[in-house]
Amino acid sequence: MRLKVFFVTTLFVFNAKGETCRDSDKGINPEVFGKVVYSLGGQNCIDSSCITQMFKESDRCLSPEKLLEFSCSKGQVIEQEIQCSTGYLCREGICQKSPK
Amino acid sequence: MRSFLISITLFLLVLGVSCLGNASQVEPFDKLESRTCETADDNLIQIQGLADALTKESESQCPFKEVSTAEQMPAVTFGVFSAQNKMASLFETLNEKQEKFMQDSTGCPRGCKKISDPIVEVSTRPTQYEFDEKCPRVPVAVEFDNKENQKFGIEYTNGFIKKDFHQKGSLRECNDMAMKFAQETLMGDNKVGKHIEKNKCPSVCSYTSTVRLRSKPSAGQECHVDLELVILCGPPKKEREWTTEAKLVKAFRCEAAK
Repeated sequence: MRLKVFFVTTLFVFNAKGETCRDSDKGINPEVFGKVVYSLGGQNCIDSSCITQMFKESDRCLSPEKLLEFSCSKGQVIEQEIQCSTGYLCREGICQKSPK
Repeated sequence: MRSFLISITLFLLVLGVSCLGNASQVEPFDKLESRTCETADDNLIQIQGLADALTKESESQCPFKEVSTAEQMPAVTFGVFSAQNKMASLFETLNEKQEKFMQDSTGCPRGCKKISDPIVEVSTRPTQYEFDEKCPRVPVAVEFDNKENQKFGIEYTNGFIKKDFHQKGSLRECNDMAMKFAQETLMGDNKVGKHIEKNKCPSVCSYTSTVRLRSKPSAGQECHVDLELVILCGPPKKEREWTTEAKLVKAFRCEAAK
């Protein structure tokens, strides 16, 4: 299925250095529900104890037509608003063809 | 009680030395038996007995309950671009405070050794949230009961999910294994993670977690790392801004000096 989407101009790139990022749907895939885990500020160590703060976010619908898609690029998390194409609606974090 | 025993010991010590002195004088052996101090050896045994009693008393005093006080650091708010520097600065301060605490030998009774075991607790969470009916209104710790502990091979206590990584390999390999477990848990890729997503915190909610790796001494070509994981389940974040709160828990215990 080829899904047409319009990328909203707002693109946020989390530019912190040294963090890790993993994306379950491996890229910008509005038709696949995805999750990312990432860290900000890298790993901090005191003596033999190292601490990392980690976060998880999931693709989710901001409105019936708009999807918030998370992905990773070069170890950084990217957050992107995607307008579902005509005839598609955002449901459960995915742009899906709307029922007629 | 302690001062009384010390006084008696000192008294007997003086008496013992005096008797030793007398014993060293050139006198016929049979005359020594008629003295108040029978033999020097007897007194030494008594002194040794009192010294043992003092040590025992000291041992019974030392393992008193662990002392723990927390020093809270001011909350730090940061955006994505300032995260690295602000976290580094925060940990530098924590490092200095911990070193100072480690060097502080006060807090235990005389004759006891201070064993310091400081803990750094850090929690970072989004400053603002969006409401979602499937998620808790505020971040709450994901908890496990004993049955779940056994099922997933973890140990949950006081908000911490603990897992031990002990295997052949370098410390780096143990760290990687532990981090992989933490990431898979958060992603819902392993059994524990799937269980959390299904029963405790649906995917749409945000997870904020602290991953702590403690390396332990190990013999030969083995590595040993303890993983402590705190997962908070909360509403999806609204803004790309986070708040970190950190504290240094100054925990120590006193042990009998040997």
